[in-house]
Amino acid sequence: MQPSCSKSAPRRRFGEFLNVSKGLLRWSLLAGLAVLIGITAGLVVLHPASVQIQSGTLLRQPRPIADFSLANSDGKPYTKADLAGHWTVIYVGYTHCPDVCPTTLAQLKAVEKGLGVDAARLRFVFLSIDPERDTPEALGQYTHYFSPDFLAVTGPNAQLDALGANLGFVYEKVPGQTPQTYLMDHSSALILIDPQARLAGYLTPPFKTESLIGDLKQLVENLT
Amino acid sequence: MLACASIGRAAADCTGLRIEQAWIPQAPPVAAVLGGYASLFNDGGTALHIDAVDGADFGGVEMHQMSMEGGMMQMRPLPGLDLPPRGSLVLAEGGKHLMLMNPKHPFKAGDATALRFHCGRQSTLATFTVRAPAP
Repeated sequence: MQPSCSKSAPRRRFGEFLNVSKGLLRWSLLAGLAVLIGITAGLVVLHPASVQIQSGTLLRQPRPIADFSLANSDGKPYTKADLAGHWTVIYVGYTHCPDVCPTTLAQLKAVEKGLGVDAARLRFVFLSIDPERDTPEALGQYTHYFSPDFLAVTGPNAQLDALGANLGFVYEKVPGQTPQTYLMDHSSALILIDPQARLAGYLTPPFKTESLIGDLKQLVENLT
Repeated sequence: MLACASIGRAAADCTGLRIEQAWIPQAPPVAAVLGGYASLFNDGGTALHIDAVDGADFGGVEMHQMSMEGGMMQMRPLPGLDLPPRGSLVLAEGGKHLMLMNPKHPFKAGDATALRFHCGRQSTLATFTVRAPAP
Protein backbone atom coordinates (compact mmCIF):
# COMPACT_ATOMS: atom_id res chain seq x y z
CA MET A 1 0.00 0.00 0.00
CA GLN A 2 2.75 2.61 -0.72
CA PRO A 3 2.13 3.78 -4.17
CA SER A 4 4.55 6.75 -3.82
CA CYS A 5 7.38 4.38 -2.95
CA SER A 6 6.74 2.10 -5.82
CA LYS A 7 6.78 5.13 -8.13
CA SER A 8 9.82 6.93 -6.71
CA ALA A 9 12.04 3.89 -6.68
CA PRO A 10 12.00 3.32 -10.38
CA ARG A 11 12.41 7.06 -10.96
CA ARG A 12 15.57 7.06 -8.84
CA ARG A 13 16.94 3.96 -10.50
CA PHE A 14 16.29 5.52 -13.91
CA GLY A 15 18.13 8.70 -12.80
CA GLU A 16 21.07 6.65 -11.60
CA PHE A 17 21.16 4.79 -14.81
CA LEU A 18 21.28 8.09 -16.72
CA ASN A 19 24.13 9.39 -14.55
CA VAL A 20 26.12 6.24 -14.91
CA SER A 21 25.57 5.99 -18.60
CA LYS A 22 26.73 9.48 -19.60
CA GLY A 23 30.24 8.09 -19.96
CA LEU A 24 28.98 4.85 -21.36
CA LEU A 25 26.86 6.72 -23.90
CA ARG A 26 29.88 8.62 -25.11
CA TRP A 27 31.82 5.37 -25.50
CA SER A 28 29.02 3.64 -27.26
CA LEU A 29 28.61 6.57 -29.66
CA LEU A 30 32.32 6.46 -30.40
CA ALA A 31 32.21 2.70 -30.78
CA GLY A 32 29.19 2.97 -33.07
CA LEU A 33 30.94 5.59 -35.15
CA ALA A 34 34.02 3.37 -35.38
CA VAL A 35 31.87 0.45 -36.55
CA LEU A 36 30.22 2.67 -39.17
CA ILE A 37 33.59 3.90 -40.39
CA GLY A 38 34.78 0.31 -40.49
CA ILE A 39 31.79 -0.86 -42.54
CA THR A 40 32.13 2.07 -44.93
CA ALA A 41 35.86 1.45 -45.31
CA GLY A 42 35.13 -2.23 -45.94
CA LEU A 43 32.59 -1.37 -48.60
CA VAL A 44 34.99 1.05 -50.24
CA VAL A 45 37.73 -1.59 -50.30
CA LEU A 46 35.39 -4.22 -51.73
CA HIS A 47 33.85 -1.80 -54.21
CA PRO A 48 36.54 0.81 -54.91
CA ALA A 49 34.10 2.90 -56.92
CA SER A 50 30.44 2.53 -57.53
CA VAL A 51 30.39 1.97 -61.29
CA GLN A 52 27.05 1.64 -62.99
CA ILE A 53 27.09 0.47 -66.58
CA GLN A 54 24.23 0.98 -69.03
CA SER A 55 24.87 -1.77 -71.52
CA GLY A 56 25.43 -4.84 -69.39
CA THR A 57 26.21 -6.29 -65.99
CA LEU A 58 29.24 -6.16 -63.73
CA LEU A 59 29.78 -9.09 -61.37
CA ARG A 60 29.67 -8.10 -57.68
CA GLN A 61 32.89 -9.99 -57.24
CA PRO A 62 35.17 -10.45 -60.27
CA ARG A 63 35.81 -14.15 -60.88
CA PRO A 64 39.31 -15.62 -61.32
CA ILE A 65 39.83 -17.60 -64.49
CA ALA A 66 42.06 -20.61 -65.15
CA ASP A 67 45.05 -20.36 -67.45
CA PHE A 68 44.47 -21.16 -71.11
CA SER A 69 46.53 -21.59 -74.25
CA LEU A 70 45.30 -20.01 -77.48
CA ALA A 71 47.08 -18.60 -80.53
CA ASN A 72 47.40 -14.95 -81.47
CA SER A 73 47.28 -14.13 -85.19
CA ASP A 74 50.93 -12.97 -84.98
CA GLY A 75 51.89 -16.61 -84.33
CA LYS A 76 52.58 -16.11 -80.62
CA PRO A 77 50.71 -17.93 -77.85
CA TYR A 78 47.85 -16.05 -76.21
CA THR A 79 47.41 -16.96 -72.54
CA LYS A 80 45.94 -15.62 -69.30
CA ALA A 81 49.11 -13.55 -68.80
CA ASP A 82 48.11 -11.49 -71.85
CA LEU A 83 44.97 -10.34 -70.01
CA ALA A 84 46.80 -8.74 -67.06
CA GLY A 85 47.50 -5.03 -66.67
CA HIS A 86 44.65 -3.60 -68.74
CA TRP A 87 40.93 -4.04 -69.37
CA THR A 88 39.97 -6.47 -72.12
CA VAL A 89 36.80 -6.70 -74.20
CA ILE A 90 36.37 -10.12 -75.83
CA TYR A 91 34.02 -10.56 -78.77
CA VAL A 92 33.23 -14.18 -79.61
CA GLY A 93 32.45 -14.84 -83.27
CA TYR A 94 33.78 -16.17 -86.58
CA THR A 95 34.65 -14.72 -89.95
CA HIS A 96 32.24 -16.82 -92.06
CA CYS A 97 29.50 -14.76 -90.53
CA PRO A 98 28.06 -12.29 -93.03
CA ASP A 99 25.73 -10.33 -90.83
CA VAL A 100 26.29 -9.69 -87.17
CA CYS A 101 30.06 -10.25 -86.79
CA PRO A 102 31.33 -7.61 -89.25
CA THR A 103 28.65 -5.21 -88.02
CA THR A 104 29.80 -5.65 -84.41
CA LEU A 105 33.49 -5.36 -85.32
CA ALA A 106 32.77 -2.15 -87.24
CA GLN A 107 30.90 -0.90 -84.17
CA LEU A 108 33.80 -1.79 -81.87
CA LYS A 109 36.07 0.18 -84.17
CA ALA A 110 33.77 3.19 -83.66
CA VAL A 111 33.88 2.55 -79.89
CA GLU A 112 37.69 2.39 -79.94
CA LYS A 113 37.78 5.72 -81.79
CA GLY A 114 35.26 7.27 -79.39
CA LEU A 115 37.32 6.24 -76.36
CA GLY A 116 40.18 8.50 -77.48
CA VAL A 117 43.18 8.25 -75.17
CA ASP A 118 41.32 5.76 -72.93
CA ALA A 119 41.49 3.20 -75.75
CA ALA A 120 45.14 2.63 -74.84
CA ARG A 121 43.96 1.27 -71.48
CA LEU A 122 42.02 -1.62 -72.92
CA ARG A 123 42.36 -4.31 -75.58
CA PHE A 124 39.70 -5.53 -77.98
CA VAL A 125 39.95 -9.24 -78.78
CA PHE A 126 38.07 -11.00 -81.59
CA LEU A 127 37.96 -14.61 -80.42
CA SER A 128 37.06 -17.03 -83.21
CA ILE A 129 35.18 -20.16 -82.18
CA ASP A 130 35.62 -21.54 -85.72
CA PRO A 131 39.28 -22.69 -85.73
CA GLU A 132 38.48 -25.16 -88.53
CA ARG A 133 38.08 -22.32 -91.04
CA ASP A 134 39.67 -19.37 -89.20
CA THR A 135 43.42 -19.97 -89.31
CA PRO A 136 45.28 -17.44 -87.14
CA GLU A 137 46.68 -15.75 -90.24
CA ALA A 138 43.33 -15.36 -92.04
CA LEU A 139 41.68 -14.31 -88.79
CA GLY A 140 44.36 -11.65 -88.30
CA GLN A 141 43.90 -10.22 -91.80
CA TYR A 142 40.13 -10.11 -91.31
CA THR A 143 40.30 -8.51 -87.85
CA HIS A 144 43.02 -5.95 -88.61
CA TYR A 145 40.95 -4.61 -91.47
CA PHE A 146 38.69 -3.14 -88.76
CA SER A 147 41.52 -1.93 -86.51
CA PRO A 148 45.23 -2.77 -86.46
CA ASP A 149 44.99 -2.63 -82.65
CA PHE A 150 42.37 -5.39 -82.35
CA LEU A 151 43.75 -8.76 -81.34
CA ALA A 152 42.68 -11.84 -83.30
CA VAL A 153 42.77 -15.04 -81.30
CA THR A 154 41.66 -18.64 -81.72
CA GLY A 155 42.77 -22.11 -80.66
CA PRO A 156 41.88 -25.78 -80.42
CA ASN A 157 38.27 -26.59 -79.51
CA ALA A 158 39.31 -28.14 -76.17
CA GLN A 159 40.91 -24.83 -75.14
CA LEU A 160 37.96 -22.79 -76.43
CA ASP A 161 35.53 -25.05 -74.53
CA ALA A 162 37.50 -24.72 -71.28
CA LEU A 163 37.77 -20.94 -71.64
CA GLY A 164 34.07 -20.79 -72.49
CA ALA A 165 33.22 -22.61 -69.26
CA ASN A 166 35.34 -20.04 -67.40
CA LEU A 167 34.08 -16.94 -69.14
CA GLY A 168 30.48 -18.03 -69.64
CA PHE A 169 30.30 -18.29 -73.42
CA VAL A 170 29.09 -21.18 -75.55
CA TYR A 171 29.16 -22.02 -79.24
CA GLU A 172 27.81 -24.76 -81.44
CA LYS A 173 28.38 -25.88 -85.00
CA VAL A 174 25.17 -26.02 -87.05
CA PRO A 175 25.03 -27.87 -90.41
CA GLY A 176 24.49 -25.62 -93.43
CA GLN A 177 23.27 -26.38 -96.92
CA THR A 178 26.69 -27.84 -97.83
CA PRO A 179 29.45 -29.29 -95.58
CA GLN A 180 31.57 -26.17 -96.21
CA THR A 181 28.83 -23.69 -95.36
CA TYR A 182 28.13 -24.79 -91.79
CA LEU A 183 27.14 -22.08 -89.36
CA MET A 184 28.21 -21.32 -85.82
CA ASP A 185 25.81 -20.34 -83.06
CA HIS A 186 27.63 -18.31 -80.44
CA SER A 187 27.05 -16.24 -77.32
CA SER A 188 26.41 -12.66 -78.23
CA ALA A 189 27.66 -10.79 -75.14
CA LEU A 190 30.95 -8.90 -75.04
CA ILE A 191 33.04 -10.29 -72.17
CA LEU A 192 34.78 -7.86 -69.81
CA ILE A 193 38.09 -8.86 -68.21
CA ASP A 194 39.59 -6.62 -65.53
CA PRO A 195 43.31 -5.71 -65.24
CA GLN A 196 43.77 -8.53 -62.71
CA ALA A 197 42.80 -10.99 -65.49
CA ARG A 198 39.45 -11.78 -63.83
CA LEU A 199 36.01 -12.07 -65.38
CA ALA A 200 34.41 -8.72 -64.51
CA GLY A 201 31.11 -8.75 -66.41
CA TYR A 202 29.31 -8.65 -69.72
CA LEU A 203 28.05 -6.08 -72.22
CA THR A 204 24.91 -7.33 -73.92
CA PRO A 205 23.21 -6.52 -77.24
CA PRO A 206 21.63 -4.57 -78.76
CA PHE A 207 24.89 -2.62 -78.67
CA LYS A 208 24.73 1.15 -78.79
CA THR A 209 28.03 2.79 -79.65
CA GLU A 210 27.56 5.76 -77.29
CA SER A 211 26.61 3.55 -74.31
CA LEU A 212 29.56 1.25 -74.92
CA ILE A 213 31.92 4.23 -75.01
CA GLY A 214 30.42 5.63 -71.78
CA ASP A 215 30.62 2.30 -69.96
CA LEU A 216 34.16 1.48 -71.02
CA LYS A 217 35.36 5.00 -70.17
CA GLN A 218 33.96 4.58 -66.66
CA LEU A 219 35.61 1.21 -66.22
CA VAL A 220 39.09 2.17 -67.37
CA GLU A 221 39.02 5.48 -65.51
CA ASN A 222 37.61 4.21 -62.19
CA LEU A 223 38.65 0.61 -61.78
CA THR A 224 42.29 -0.13 -62.43
CA MET B 1 2.88 -23.47 -128.08
CA LEU B 2 3.62 -24.74 -124.57
CA ALA B 3 7.37 -24.64 -125.30
CA CYS B 4 7.03 -21.05 -126.45
CA ALA B 5 5.19 -20.12 -123.28
CA SER B 6 7.81 -21.65 -121.01
CA ILE B 7 10.70 -20.00 -122.90
CA GLY B 8 8.86 -16.73 -122.57
CA ARG B 9 8.42 -17.25 -118.83
CA ALA B 10 12.07 -18.18 -118.31
CA ALA B 11 13.16 -14.79 -119.59
CA ALA B 12 10.55 -12.83 -117.69
CA ASP B 13 10.93 -10.96 -114.43
CA CYS B 14 9.22 -12.28 -111.29
CA THR B 15 5.77 -10.77 -111.70
CA GLY B 16 5.39 -7.76 -109.44
CA LEU B 17 8.78 -8.06 -107.71
CA ARG B 18 10.51 -4.75 -107.05
CA ILE B 19 13.91 -4.64 -105.31
CA GLU B 20 15.18 -1.39 -103.81
CA GLN B 21 17.98 -0.12 -101.56
CA ALA B 22 20.07 -3.16 -102.34
CA TRP B 23 23.45 -3.01 -100.67
CA ILE B 24 26.36 -5.03 -99.34
CA PRO B 25 28.15 -3.95 -96.16
CA GLN B 26 31.82 -3.39 -96.87
CA ALA B 27 33.86 -6.26 -95.43
CA PRO B 28 37.55 -7.11 -95.14
CA PRO B 29 39.10 -7.98 -98.54
CA VAL B 30 39.82 -11.48 -97.19
CA ALA B 31 36.18 -12.09 -96.16
CA ALA B 32 34.89 -15.44 -97.44
CA VAL B 33 31.30 -14.31 -97.03
CA LEU B 34 29.49 -11.00 -97.42
CA GLY B 35 26.02 -9.93 -96.34
CA GLY B 36 23.34 -8.70 -98.70
CA TYR B 37 20.48 -6.39 -97.72
CA ALA B 38 17.54 -4.94 -99.66
CA SER B 39 13.89 -3.95 -99.51
CA LEU B 40 11.65 -6.32 -101.51
CA PHE B 41 8.17 -5.34 -102.66
CA ASN B 42 5.46 -7.41 -104.29
CA ASP B 43 3.47 -4.93 -106.37
CA GLY B 44 1.37 -7.73 -107.84
CA GLY B 45 -1.84 -9.34 -106.73
CA THR B 46 -0.44 -12.87 -106.30
CA ALA B 47 1.92 -14.21 -103.67
CA LEU B 48 5.63 -14.44 -104.61
CA HIS B 49 8.06 -17.10 -103.44
CA ILE B 50 11.76 -16.43 -104.04
CA ASP B 51 13.37 -19.85 -104.02
CA ALA B 52 16.95 -19.00 -104.97
CA VAL B 53 19.37 -16.12 -105.42
CA ASP B 54 22.64 -16.21 -107.34
CA GLY B 55 25.24 -13.89 -108.81
CA ALA B 56 28.17 -14.28 -111.20
CA ASP B 57 30.57 -12.70 -108.66
CA PHE B 58 29.87 -15.30 -105.97
CA GLY B 59 30.35 -19.02 -105.52
CA GLY B 60 26.90 -19.27 -104.00
CA VAL B 61 24.16 -17.29 -102.28
CA GLU B 62 22.04 -18.46 -99.35
CA MET B 63 19.05 -16.82 -97.74
CA HIS B 64 19.44 -16.63 -93.97
CA GLN B 65 17.60 -15.68 -90.84
CA MET B 66 19.61 -14.18 -87.98
CA SER B 67 18.03 -14.41 -84.57
CA MET B 68 18.92 -14.08 -80.93
CA GLU B 69 17.80 -16.94 -78.71
CA GLY B 70 18.70 -16.81 -75.01
CA GLY B 71 21.79 -14.68 -75.59
CA MET B 72 22.89 -16.82 -78.54
CA MET B 73 23.44 -15.45 -82.03
CA GLN B 74 21.88 -17.93 -84.42
CA MET B 75 21.99 -18.07 -88.19
CA ARG B 76 19.66 -20.41 -90.06
CA PRO B 77 19.33 -21.04 -93.81
CA LEU B 78 15.88 -20.23 -95.20
CA PRO B 79 14.30 -22.34 -97.97
CA GLY B 80 13.01 -19.16 -99.57
CA LEU B 81 11.51 -15.73 -99.08
CA ASP B 82 7.74 -15.20 -99.23
CA LEU B 83 6.03 -11.99 -100.26
CA PRO B 84 2.25 -11.84 -99.92
CA PRO B 85 0.24 -9.93 -102.56
CA ARG B 86 1.06 -6.21 -102.21
CA GLY B 87 3.39 -7.16 -99.39
CA SER B 88 7.01 -6.30 -98.63
CA LEU B 89 10.00 -7.79 -96.91
CA VAL B 90 13.15 -6.14 -95.62
CA LEU B 91 16.49 -7.92 -95.71
CA ALA B 92 18.42 -6.12 -92.98
CA GLU B 93 21.19 -6.39 -90.40
CA GLY B 94 20.18 -8.69 -87.56
CA GLY B 95 17.27 -10.25 -89.46
CA LYS B 96 16.64 -11.95 -92.78
CA HIS B 97 19.58 -11.41 -95.11
CA LEU B 98 21.58 -12.91 -97.97
CA MET B 99 24.87 -14.70 -97.37
CA LEU B 100 27.07 -14.12 -100.42
CA MET B 101 29.71 -16.84 -100.40
CA ASN B 102 33.19 -17.05 -101.91
CA PRO B 103 33.37 -13.68 -103.69
CA LYS B 104 35.43 -14.05 -106.87
CA HIS B 105 37.26 -10.79 -106.18
CA PRO B 106 37.49 -8.36 -103.24
CA PHE B 107 34.86 -5.64 -103.04
CA LYS B 108 35.39 -2.08 -101.91
CA ALA B 109 32.91 0.69 -101.13
CA GLY B 110 31.27 1.95 -104.31
CA ASP B 111 31.57 -1.36 -106.20
CA ALA B 112 28.40 -2.83 -107.64
CA THR B 113 27.36 -6.40 -108.42
CA ALA B 114 24.25 -7.98 -109.90
CA LEU B 115 22.24 -10.64 -108.07
CA ARG B 116 19.41 -12.63 -109.62
CA PHE B 117 16.34 -13.45 -107.54
CA HIS B 118 14.55 -16.56 -108.79
CA CYS B 119 10.87 -17.27 -108.30
CA GLY B 120 10.14 -20.50 -110.09
CA ARG B 121 10.91 -20.06 -113.76
CA GLN B 122 11.04 -16.29 -113.56
CA SER B 123 13.82 -14.17 -112.17
CA THR B 124 14.60 -10.53 -111.45
CA LEU B 125 18.04 -8.93 -111.56
CA ALA B 126 19.01 -6.37 -108.90
CA THR B 127 22.13 -4.26 -108.57
CA PHE B 128 23.74 -4.32 -105.12
CA THR B 129 26.15 -1.53 -104.14
CA VAL B 130 28.92 -1.98 -101.58
CA ARG B 131 29.01 0.61 -98.82
CA ALA B 132 30.35 1.06 -95.31
CA PRO B 133 27.86 0.03 -92.61
CA ALA B 134 26.52 2.84 -90.44
CA PRO B 135 28.42 3.01 -87.12
